[in-house]
Amino acid sequence: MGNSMSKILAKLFGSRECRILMLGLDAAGKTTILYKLKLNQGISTVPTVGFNVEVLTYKNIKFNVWDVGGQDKIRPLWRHYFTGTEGLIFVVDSADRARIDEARQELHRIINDREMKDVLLLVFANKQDLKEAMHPKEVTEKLQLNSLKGRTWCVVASTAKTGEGLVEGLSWLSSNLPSMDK
Amino acid sequence: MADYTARFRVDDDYYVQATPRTGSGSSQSNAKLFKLISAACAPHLVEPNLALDFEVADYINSKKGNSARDAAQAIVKLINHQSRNVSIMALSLLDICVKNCGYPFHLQISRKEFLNELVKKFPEKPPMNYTHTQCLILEVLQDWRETLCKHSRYKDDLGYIRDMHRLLTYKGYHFPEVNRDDAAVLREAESLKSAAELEAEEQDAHSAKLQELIRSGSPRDLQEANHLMKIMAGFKESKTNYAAKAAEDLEKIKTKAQLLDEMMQGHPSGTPFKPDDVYAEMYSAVKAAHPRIQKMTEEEGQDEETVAKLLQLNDYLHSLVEKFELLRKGDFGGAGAVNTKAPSGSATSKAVVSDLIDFGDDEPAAGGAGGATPAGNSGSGSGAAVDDLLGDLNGLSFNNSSGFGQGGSISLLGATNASSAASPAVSGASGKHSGTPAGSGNLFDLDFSPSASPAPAATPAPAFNFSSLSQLTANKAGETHAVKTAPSEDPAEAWNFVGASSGAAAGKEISILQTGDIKVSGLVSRSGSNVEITLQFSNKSFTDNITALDFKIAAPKSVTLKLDPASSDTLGAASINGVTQEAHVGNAGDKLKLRFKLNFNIGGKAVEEVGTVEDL
Repeated sequence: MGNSMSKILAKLFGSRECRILMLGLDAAGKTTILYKLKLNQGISTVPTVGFNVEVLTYKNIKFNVWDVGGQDKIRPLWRHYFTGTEGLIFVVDSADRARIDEARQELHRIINDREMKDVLLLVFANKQDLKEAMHPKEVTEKLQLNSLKGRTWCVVASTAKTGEGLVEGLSWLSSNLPSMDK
Repeated sequence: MADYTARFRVDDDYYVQATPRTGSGSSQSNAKLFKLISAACAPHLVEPNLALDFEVADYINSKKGNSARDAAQAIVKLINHQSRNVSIMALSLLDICVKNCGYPFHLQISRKEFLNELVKKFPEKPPMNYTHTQCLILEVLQDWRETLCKHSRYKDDLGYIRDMHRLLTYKGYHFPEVNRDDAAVLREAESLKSAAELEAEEQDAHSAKLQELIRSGSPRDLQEANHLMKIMAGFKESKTNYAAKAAEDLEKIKTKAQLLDEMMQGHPSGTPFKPDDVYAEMYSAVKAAHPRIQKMTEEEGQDEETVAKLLQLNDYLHSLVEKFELLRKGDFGGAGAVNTKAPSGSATSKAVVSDLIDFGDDEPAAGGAGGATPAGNSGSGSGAAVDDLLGDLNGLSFNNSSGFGQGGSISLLGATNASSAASPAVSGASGKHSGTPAGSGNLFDLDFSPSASPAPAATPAPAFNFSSLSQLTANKAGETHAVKTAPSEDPAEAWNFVGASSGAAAGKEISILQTGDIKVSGLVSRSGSNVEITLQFSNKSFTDNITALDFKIAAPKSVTLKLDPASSDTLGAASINGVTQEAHVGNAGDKLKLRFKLNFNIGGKAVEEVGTVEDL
């Protein structure tokens, strides 16, 4: 009863919940992004073994952000998090040219999954503060995003340490999420 | 318009669309699953359409992921459908899914939400008469409680089923009896599984559990999910060692096979062979394991040692099956001819000596040879085979006494007193006699040599002689040796003391088993966590030989146990400490507890003794 009441209220006041999954290769900066957004401070992280989940509220939308570890051993477990996901944040280390191809493979593997066929795709071209970092356009090209059919996607340049670009990414997500009553 | 009028129809054909609505939680992609489920529970069915039911089960198994959850939700919704037909069909579908979809589905039916939904239509107070649906629901709950909650490998995850059962019992509901045969399917299959299969099974279970934990999303579940992820990704050692588990299962099947072998061996030929339940169970276990082992042999292609072991076991099982069939047909000759040879190597480090066919032909001879040395310096000698001394002395004395007739006591005393007089030649002769018991033709020797053939003792007279002799010599021996070592008053003790005084340097003697037929004692010496036990077997009967002596020990898993073969499996009449066996226990704690099982034949009947030894 209480649950349905709060749902009605949520409808009235326009706040909604959505489930966001944040993936990417190891050391791309997923956990740093999550806690920069949550706590607004840069923290130093250790490689995530398992996952972190935080609720971020932005413009009346409650984002349940799941940040799952990116080490190759954990990647097969990503699929367990797909169910019910509305948005995928894929984080790329823009300075890691050697592994951009690996990142492309993983990304395509994820979005080709049956359960992910309708999700919004936001790519953070992270670590823009490094001088050898690729331009977002180059990241787009390397990830072959232009070949995606029927998918809403966006690449945002970001620096997790300073928080640059992160809010822009969230606002893109919030404006592109389908409204509650389709 | 037709839809509109259909809503107001009052005849029996009217029904509400059974297709479950796909809520926001369940994904659209499972539309096919819902279509299948509603087809399997269509209201026009008068009996379950098993083909459709199995199609649903197969679909869940192949799609994995959320399908088990979606199916469980859809089915329970149909169980509460107002059409009685639909709910009964849904219950039959539920039953099929529980029995065929494994752990992922079990996890779903043990969820609180599911169980609450399942009994939604149960009134607070039990009704006078249960409806058919209520009956069936009570039945499945009882079923699950009796099987899944007791036998599943992951029964800890299924606690809510038990809770629901308890709640309903508390409210006064009565559960119907479960048909054992029907429920047997739900028993965790006791079939043999290879390491790879076990691993795959566990991975599936982990996946299903992780999915469920992530979905439920409560802080505690998330914590558990994080922990589970670590295990699944291999960062934390999983609790189960698949190879060890598989080896353990193999060991179990081997023990079963050996037991079956023993039972068939013990079956007197000539009497009709009527396999009872125990027989049937073991036979089916052995027979079921047979093809599994063949498959495992194919899988383990590269590891030659394992393959050899598997093949050995395979042959053993095969011969057992063959023998069983022959016995059942009444062909005792053929059954006896089947050579069932238990594989010697054990898959785990536990050495189980239970080779009953091998009567240890070479061992008495070895014992005799070993006994020669201590016989030369009895009392002060230190060989491990000293325990054979007495048996040897018995044989020795009668070799001599047979020449003197009743005056044997003198010669025996001579042998004990002037121990150096027991020349190796004489004891060697005794060894030879015991090696070929039937050939000696010497009645005394035949009866009393420690390794005599299982022929029953003929006359009580020699037995009487012997006892008096042993008393005599015992007294004498006590006198002669008491000076050198600890004093002992009891003549019987003196005998023990002669046998043991030199054998165990620092050890205590414990009595393990004492019955009318046999006495088993152990000399225990401990150094740190290692315990050495020298087991000594004495035949308390003066007339009957003990044959097919088989002693097994079981220890807690933390303890390493090695049991050497017994010096012989035949114990002559009245032989004291005639057979010895060494057990080495490593990694023993302060308090060591061992269980043992002793099998032997005496006077034509098979005896089994079990017991526990504590505080070693």
